[in-house]
Amino acid sequence: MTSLLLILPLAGFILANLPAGRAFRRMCIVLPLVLSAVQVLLTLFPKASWWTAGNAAGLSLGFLRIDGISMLMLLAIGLVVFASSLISTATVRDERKNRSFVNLVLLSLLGMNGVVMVTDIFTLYVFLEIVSVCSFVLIALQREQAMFEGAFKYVVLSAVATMLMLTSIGILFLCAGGTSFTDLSSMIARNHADYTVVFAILMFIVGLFIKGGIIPFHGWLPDAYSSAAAPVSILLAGIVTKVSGVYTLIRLVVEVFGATPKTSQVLLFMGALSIVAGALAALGQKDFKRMLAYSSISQVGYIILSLGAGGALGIAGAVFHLFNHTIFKTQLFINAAAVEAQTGSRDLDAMGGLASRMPVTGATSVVALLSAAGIPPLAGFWSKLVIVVALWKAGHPVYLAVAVLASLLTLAYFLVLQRKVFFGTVAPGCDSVKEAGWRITGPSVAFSLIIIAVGVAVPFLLDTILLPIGRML
Amino acid sequence: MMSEAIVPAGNPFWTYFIFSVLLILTGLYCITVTRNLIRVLIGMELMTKGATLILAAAGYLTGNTGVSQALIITLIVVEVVVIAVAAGIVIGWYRKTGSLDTSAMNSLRG
Amino acid sequence: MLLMILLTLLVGIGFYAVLSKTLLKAAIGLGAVSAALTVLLFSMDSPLAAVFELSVCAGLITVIFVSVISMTKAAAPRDQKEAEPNHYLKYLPLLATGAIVFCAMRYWLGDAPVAQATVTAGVDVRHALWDLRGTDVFAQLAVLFSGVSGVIVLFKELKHDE
Repeated sequence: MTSLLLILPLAGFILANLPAGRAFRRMCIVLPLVLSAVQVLLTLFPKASWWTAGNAAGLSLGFLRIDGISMLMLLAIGLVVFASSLISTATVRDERKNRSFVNLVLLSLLGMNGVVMVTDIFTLYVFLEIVSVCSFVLIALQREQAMFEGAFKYVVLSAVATMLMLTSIGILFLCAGGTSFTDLSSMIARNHADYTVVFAILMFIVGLFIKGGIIPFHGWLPDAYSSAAAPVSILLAGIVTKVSGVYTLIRLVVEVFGATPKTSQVLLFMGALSIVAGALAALGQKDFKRMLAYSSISQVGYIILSLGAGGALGIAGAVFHLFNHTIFKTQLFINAAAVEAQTGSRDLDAMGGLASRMPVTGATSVVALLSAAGIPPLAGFWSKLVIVVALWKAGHPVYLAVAVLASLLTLAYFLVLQRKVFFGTVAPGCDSVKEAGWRITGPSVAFSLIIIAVGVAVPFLLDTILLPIGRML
Repeated sequence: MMSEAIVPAGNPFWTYFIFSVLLILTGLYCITVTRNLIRVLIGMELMTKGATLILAAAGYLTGNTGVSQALIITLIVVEVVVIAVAAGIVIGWYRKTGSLDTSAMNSLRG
Repeated sequence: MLLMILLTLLVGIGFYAVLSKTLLKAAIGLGAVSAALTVLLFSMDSPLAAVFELSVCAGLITVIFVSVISMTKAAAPRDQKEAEPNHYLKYLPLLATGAIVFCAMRYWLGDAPVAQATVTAGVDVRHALWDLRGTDVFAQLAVLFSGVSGVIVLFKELKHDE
């Protein structure tokens, strides 16, 4: 059953490329919509029997496994891919590009599903490369100069990250004699003080920092996010970097590398640096998507910080904030897409008073911004609370202060954003702006409802889902 | 084959490893120093070659060449795909700007 | 001894590829690095990987590079002059860094815990690739597909720009 999550997208890809009539080709956007919707529905019932059906029959691919955290990520992947595909029907008009988009989205769905389920470090690398290759092409899909620039920067930094990971895999393979997570973790547990092993672990972590866009390695991220077309930047910002950088980091640190004091120190420091520098950089941005990109760097910093705090609570906080971040960042990029589609601009200074013209977009972005800034009772508040408590319990008062104070910075730059775009008097040139179509506002409203629902239901979620995740890993 | 005579006692891995790291450093340096996009791609390739050598040495020295060859074959397939896509991006950029100069890649600052 | 010669050759050709004045020589140098790596892989009991390295990396990738260079020929002479000022001096820090890394690694790498050869020896490469690492083969298929769609997007539609 688990391998069906990989085989179905591939089958969908083949189906979308069958020589068929024009009518069928125009319909092929249905494929990612249906597949992601099915994935969301399946993951809503994590205990159902279909997850284990067929595994015994020897039909499944090796190295695959699903636990609570992968289930949560599968849900997030399904949601974001669905939203991105729906929005592509409204924004990618050209039929040929639409088809390429479908192909690449299906393959990145496959790659991301693989990344969250895999239990072998080399296969993990291969799935990461599938996701990266799809992202390179998706960024350059509309063939504009800025897109090639963003894509090329991503290619180069991703190549450096790949090199670091492969070198690390080589060393770990030498030391452990195998590449599966169990082989590696038992070897690392035996030799966690050995210089060679520590060196390999740090190389891998730095590679993942590049993929996830943590601050000193973030060069590609704002360019790639802001140059890409709307559905692509939703996909990239919402889930691709989160899965390929952040989720992988959580998974490997918890399950394979182990939380040694050295890695904890590195993670705490990089997380705090990312939070502060990302937030400060976001304050100075004039471009809607670039501001969101820097805010993304800052929020990822929280996840890394929580991971560095360690313990069941820290891991639960990291996973919870990862999920929340995926939801509200996707929603903010959807709103950026709506604003860009309706006004034709991303320049914050050229906008104003759009809330009266685009009431749904204005209202939903307030929800997402407040969640990102950590205002109760929205979802983002609870994950930040878990992170703060985890830092307190682990005895890092300095990092705790950084996390709390940077939350105010987050609020500051989002207030700037909200004031410039949605509040105040209507800017000249924005008089005739209308609300975006349902295919853009629909996902936006749905994601806001998820933010509110998670925020309200958090006492229930914390006991049943989140803390077990932290303990189980 | 020829390993018994050549590889010194102790830990022979470091011989391979140092030369791989030198190759990787050459590639990395090429990427950071050059201003030509195609040279950046060549640097990327050199880094991958270094990583291939490390994997091969790891498999060889643990007597696990079956697995390491399987890994290297997969690695090569991935490498070709990445280079083909990167070359496509370079050509697209060239068609748009008529230049291969990396210093022209600064329109997205800020 | 032969091993040291091969490894030195590998890095030496790598230097040549990076330092050469024209792009075409650099691409051919890269092909030569692959060829040297092929010989090394043969010497390391990995004939199948060596064949792949020779045909795909030394062959296909060189072809890709040469075609990219010929497709962008008009820009090459100008970029070549402007883009590579004081050519060799720029690479001096590389030699210094390389020497430092060489010494540092020699010092640190003494005590790596190497797995015993006997544990997993004798896995045939066919068995390893198809049975043990079936997921990798599946993922290779997906990588190839994404590469094909990527090449279609990036190359096939070139006509529409002009």
